[in-house]
Amino acid sequence: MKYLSLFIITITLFACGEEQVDNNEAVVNEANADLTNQRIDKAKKVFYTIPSPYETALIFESTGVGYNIGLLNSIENVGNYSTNVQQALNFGVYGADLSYANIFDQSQQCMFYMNCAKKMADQLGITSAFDAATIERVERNLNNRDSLMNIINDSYWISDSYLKENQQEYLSALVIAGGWIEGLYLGSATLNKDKPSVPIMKSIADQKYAIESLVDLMGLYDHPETTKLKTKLLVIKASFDKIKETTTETSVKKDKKVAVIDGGSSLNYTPEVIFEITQNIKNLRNEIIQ
Amino acid sequence: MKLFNNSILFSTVFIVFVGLSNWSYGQCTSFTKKQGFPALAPFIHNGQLTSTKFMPGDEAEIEMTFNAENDYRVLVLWQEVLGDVIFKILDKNKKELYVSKPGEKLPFWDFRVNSTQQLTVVINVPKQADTSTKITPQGCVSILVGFKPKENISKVKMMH
Repeated sequence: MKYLSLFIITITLFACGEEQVDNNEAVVNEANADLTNQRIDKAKKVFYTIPSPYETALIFESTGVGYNIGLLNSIENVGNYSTNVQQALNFGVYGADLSYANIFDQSQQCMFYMNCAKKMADQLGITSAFDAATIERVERNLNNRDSLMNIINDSYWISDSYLKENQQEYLSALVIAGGWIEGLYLGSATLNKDKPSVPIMKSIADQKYAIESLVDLMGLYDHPETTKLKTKLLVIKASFDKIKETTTETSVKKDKKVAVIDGGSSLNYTPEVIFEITQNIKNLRNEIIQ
Repeated sequence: MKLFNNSILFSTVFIVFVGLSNWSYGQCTSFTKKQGFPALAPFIHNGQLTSTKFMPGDEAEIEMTFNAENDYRVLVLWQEVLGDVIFKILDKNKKELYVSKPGEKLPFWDFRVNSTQQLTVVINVPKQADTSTKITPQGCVSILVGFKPKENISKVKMMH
């Protein structure tokens, strides 16, 4: 007998690669049901991945999006989140803000946002994520963007593990969602309707794949909060669905060092669809940070 | 894992199993950090680490988005107990773009996509002959993605 297990591994961590081995940290986010008694013959595991806020921020940075401190969730809001759902979502939001500030080398802002993330983690009971030793490491590496990202990675990994081990996987999913929503908000908020940047619009459109995975992720958990968020994400997905995908046959050719994949999917959209997505993301994000 | 009818035996096995599970989880992370990250360089780790325990005969599919014009390295590593794991990268129509070679340690594929693509990484763990102990081996499999972003087109701008 065969059966299908649906697993989602999504990791919202931010990393940088120019560090040495010992400093390379990552987030492992396992929905690990592989040892159920139902395993009889063979399980096919299906994973979905959602871009980390770090990756999203880098993508938008490459399109020419500038650093705009006014877009970040205010550090003064950190005391507003009293439920664990708000805390989880905003833990993701502050993580994305932290990532964004770090990519633009805003070390002072990084410290502020690290403290916000710490507060969210502490309130969720994850006191080990940003302990004294971690904060000390952050202070020592404030001017080293790569090292700082690795430390942040480590803290989010600890958080993710903690939530999973304490049967709060749905909160882990909310952290991921909060991070993705904030990352896309930060990338899209500067889009000028009168003179929309083509690279920014393209990067927004490319998130079509991520929203599909995120909706699936929310659907995995039998919890009213993930169901509620899924309903809201479906509104955004409906806008993304207006982006038409066409597919041609792929071909692989060898360049100097790497293989180059030609063909495949391409996305077709109008600026109006992108504006609609941007507005929907803004609405949801503002609802989350209230 | 097999089910045992004897409840006491089952409980014992369960306790051992939980212990193994926790041990394996930490071990997967440590294993990935020590062996995976060095092989990813000089690419920048994308911040995602997909890692879980597998048994012989397991198959996994991971859908991943690769952004236009970035260079990527997809790297798969696993524990030896699982044998010759094979990994493939498929396009949306399930066409094989890359297949690792049997016996290859730390296989990886470096590539670039000319337009943003969602590709599927498939992991196949080979089946193993039954052993007299009836203990099914388990091992970690991790998938790492590194990238080199395209050149930034603008300098940092401050807007207050």
